[in-house]
Amino acid sequence: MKRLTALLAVMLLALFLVPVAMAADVFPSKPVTGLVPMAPGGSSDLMARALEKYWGKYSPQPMVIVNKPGGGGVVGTEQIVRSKPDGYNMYIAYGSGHDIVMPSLQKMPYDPQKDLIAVARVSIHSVVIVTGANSPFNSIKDVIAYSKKEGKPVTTAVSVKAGAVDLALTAFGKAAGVNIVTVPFSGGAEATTALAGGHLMIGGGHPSEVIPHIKAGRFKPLAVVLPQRDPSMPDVPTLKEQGVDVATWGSVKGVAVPAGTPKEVVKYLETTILKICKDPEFLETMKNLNQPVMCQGSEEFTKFIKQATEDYAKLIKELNIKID
Amino acid sequence: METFSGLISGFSIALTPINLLFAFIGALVGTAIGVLPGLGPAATIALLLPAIYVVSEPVTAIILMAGIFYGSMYGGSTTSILLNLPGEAASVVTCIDGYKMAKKGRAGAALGIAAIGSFVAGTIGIVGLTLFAPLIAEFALSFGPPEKFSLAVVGLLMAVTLSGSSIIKGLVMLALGLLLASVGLDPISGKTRFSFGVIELQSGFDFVTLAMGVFGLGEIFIGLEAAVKVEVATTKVGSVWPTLKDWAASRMAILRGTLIGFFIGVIPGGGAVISSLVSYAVEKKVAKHPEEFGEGAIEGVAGPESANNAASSSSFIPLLTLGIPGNASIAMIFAALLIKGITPGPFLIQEHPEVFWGVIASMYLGNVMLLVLNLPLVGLWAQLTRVPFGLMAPVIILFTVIGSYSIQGQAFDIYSLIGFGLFGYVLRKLKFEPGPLVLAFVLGPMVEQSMRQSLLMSGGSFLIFVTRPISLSLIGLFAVLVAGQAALTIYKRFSPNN
Amino acid sequence: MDSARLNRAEKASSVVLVAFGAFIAWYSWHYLKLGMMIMPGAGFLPFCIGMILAVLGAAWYARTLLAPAAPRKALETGEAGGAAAGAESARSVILSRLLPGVLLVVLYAWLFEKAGYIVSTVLFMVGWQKLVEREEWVKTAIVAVTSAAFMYVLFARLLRVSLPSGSWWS
Repeated sequence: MKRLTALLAVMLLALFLVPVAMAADVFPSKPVTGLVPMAPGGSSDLMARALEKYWGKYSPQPMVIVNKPGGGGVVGTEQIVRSKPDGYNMYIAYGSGHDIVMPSLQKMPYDPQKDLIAVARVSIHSVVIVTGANSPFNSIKDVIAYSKKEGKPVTTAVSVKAGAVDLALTAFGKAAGVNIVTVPFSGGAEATTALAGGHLMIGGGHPSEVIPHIKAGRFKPLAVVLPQRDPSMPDVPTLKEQGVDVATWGSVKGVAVPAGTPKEVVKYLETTILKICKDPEFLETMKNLNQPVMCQGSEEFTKFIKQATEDYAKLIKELNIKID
Repeated sequence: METFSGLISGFSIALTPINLLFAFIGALVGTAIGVLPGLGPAATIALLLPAIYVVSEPVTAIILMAGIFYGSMYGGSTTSILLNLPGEAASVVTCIDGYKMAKKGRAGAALGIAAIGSFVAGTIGIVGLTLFAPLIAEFALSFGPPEKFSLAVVGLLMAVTLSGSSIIKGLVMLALGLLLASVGLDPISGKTRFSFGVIELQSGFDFVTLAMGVFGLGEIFIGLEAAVKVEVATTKVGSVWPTLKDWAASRMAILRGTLIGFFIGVIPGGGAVISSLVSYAVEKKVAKHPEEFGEGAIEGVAGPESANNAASSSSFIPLLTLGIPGNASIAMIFAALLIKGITPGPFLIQEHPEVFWGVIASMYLGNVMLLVLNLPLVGLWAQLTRVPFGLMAPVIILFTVIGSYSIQGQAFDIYSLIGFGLFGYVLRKLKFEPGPLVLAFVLGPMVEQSMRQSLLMSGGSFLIFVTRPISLSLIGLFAVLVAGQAALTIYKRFSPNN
Repeated sequence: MDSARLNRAEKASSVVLVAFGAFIAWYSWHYLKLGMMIMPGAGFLPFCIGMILAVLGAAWYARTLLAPAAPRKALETGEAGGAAAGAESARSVILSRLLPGVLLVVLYAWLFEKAGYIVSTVLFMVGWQKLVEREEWVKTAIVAVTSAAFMYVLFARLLRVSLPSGSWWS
């Protein structure tokens, strides 16, 4: 009887210890989730999928990409902010419009700097102003001239509300005296599809989103909204070259995890991403996606996000842009 | 020619061992679950949706889902014929004559003709999909926000008006579906709606959870109540090969069913249910012995079964070219595509040719597999219909609970699953059809966003929906259909023959 | 449900629907804001839906008034006893099977993360076989253990879903 009791006790103990032992594995013991708060097919999503492709090369566990679009990126980012800070929930696209632009325009349900830990920067996406191939516009001057002559609003496709593209186009409208009506979609892919169908007059997007359409002859590029020309499309003049004094940093694309994630886990993720950044195959993939690789480690990236947010706040104040 | 080379490359993708395996698994599992009493295609796909999180290649995942979709359609007809229990509305018609045939000892013939008809119709439907989808995709670019809005709304309304059941209840389902879709952060203003302080609700309801709750769990709750024991017509199936006489009777029915199904499937809001109803009506009209209908006429099985399979194939056309799912089952495939990072739309064929052609090619293969699975193994499936409810019900509950938990790893989703299950139960008790609810939930964000985009484009004028030709013709087409239906109803009521 | 009971349930539901629609419309108008015509706010669509639901609820109520006159009369005269017995047995089925079934699922959900997958699933299956299906113990035990093990292999091993190990035990 005694032996039986002992046996039972051991079995029960074993039953309870198994899960404990399973939980004590080293990071990562299961696939990590890379959440993209934008619709599939946009520039953030493409970059996330490029990261996912080479993640397995440097980490024993694969990365699983999940798209959670909505609210200009807020929906998905908020999900990350309140997810378990164990490193298995990564936010890809940190530094997008809703992280560095939106806080200056409206109240956020979370603090993009305090509630998230910047892991690494991967790329910077400039904003390109384009128009459909059949459009009468051939340069920014044509758009301004049209607006002055007809006095009608210029409908503009942008990927999300209050994102970097929306802001760049709104800033252009204010500075050039053009009545720009930005029409937000849920991601760059949808916005460019609508523009390709000729349903809007002009549109904005990141090089990775618009270059395929330019190559296919569906879009004409009008201007790049950067201080200097974008290396991925050197033939396209900047807004400044065309006499409109507006330039932004575009959209920054990095990786973040929720605040409270253990330091060693953040370090592991940072090292893994920086390794991927040097992988020649990854660089080739990113080149094909028309996304410049501009990697930064956790510490520098945190400072960069702070600086970029301040720059945008200043621009918004100068141009007196308000939403709603 | 481009189509031809696309199809060839599609076959080279579909024929890789892994994709072949998943097409087979999909067909097998789809049939197996679809055969279980009470679980129709929509419920089957909903139950198995979490599986796509595990399959990493998008093509493979969609091939799996398409296989499940087809398999469950086949499985559903088996349950209808042997048990008189339609898994969903699309098989209701099959019950009428199929069950009668089974009672008369002709279960084999009924199952056989259903499988053959489904195979022929499914294959012809895919040929149509192969030929027409690329053409429609080019035209699809002219669908801007106003057109998308009109198409989505017309599609939703059609799903209700064509279904033949109560229009008021159908509209209530649509409105509730749209309302459920609006829970969470508003995509345009960034404001939270209807979350009432619940953090988990800020990102809105999860589609898979909703579908599994309303279809899977709701069905189980109803089953719990039904004290009536299911009467199995027979499990002795007999020969599945149709006799020459059967073949002569059903040959044309299969062809007519295919044509009807194909065209109805393309219409948003159409799909398997309506096409099977229309096919049955047509067969009854053209039959030499209409009095045999309802007493076990083989045409009454062959026509509708062909129609609903042709419709399943052709309903992929609006999904893959416009990115607009036409019915609840296709809406799940739509969700699966989005989860796998693919936005179906005009550029799908160019941007993801491997997905487009791979899936189409696998459909050809899947249909062959299903024919092979169904004709010789039909006896085995018949045995599956006898799985006792006491075992089936809790296992399905485990499926839904673990499935909904696995999506985000939060217990909240299990509670919302149960909530949707109870909701689905109440809907069934009050004689509501949950299909339009799920469809509206999926299309909700598109309806709202395209409406607001259109108003931005027009400067706040609703006239934009009637001044653009495509949008206007969609609305016009709908008006004509409704008027036609109303006229038909009135004519029937006052015609002296009735 | 017989038609008279269905009719009564429909009446009640339609009234609830009107109230619900009105609430949604009020909430959308008050808290979410309708915005302007050119840029409709977050509450615009929900407001419209609320109004539509209220109207549909009213139409539904009107419908229930038109439809069921015949069965009501039948109920008052001859079939009253039979119908009442039917309702009685329906209620007892709800109490004996549906209610324990639903409660078990809720309990399962509550235990799922706390007690972990294995314990909660075995408990749920045992509860179901005993309380809903009234099976004997041996069969109950076999069914509970095999189905919990089967689902574990399927989800945790084949599909690599991470199932909770139980917050109570760690």
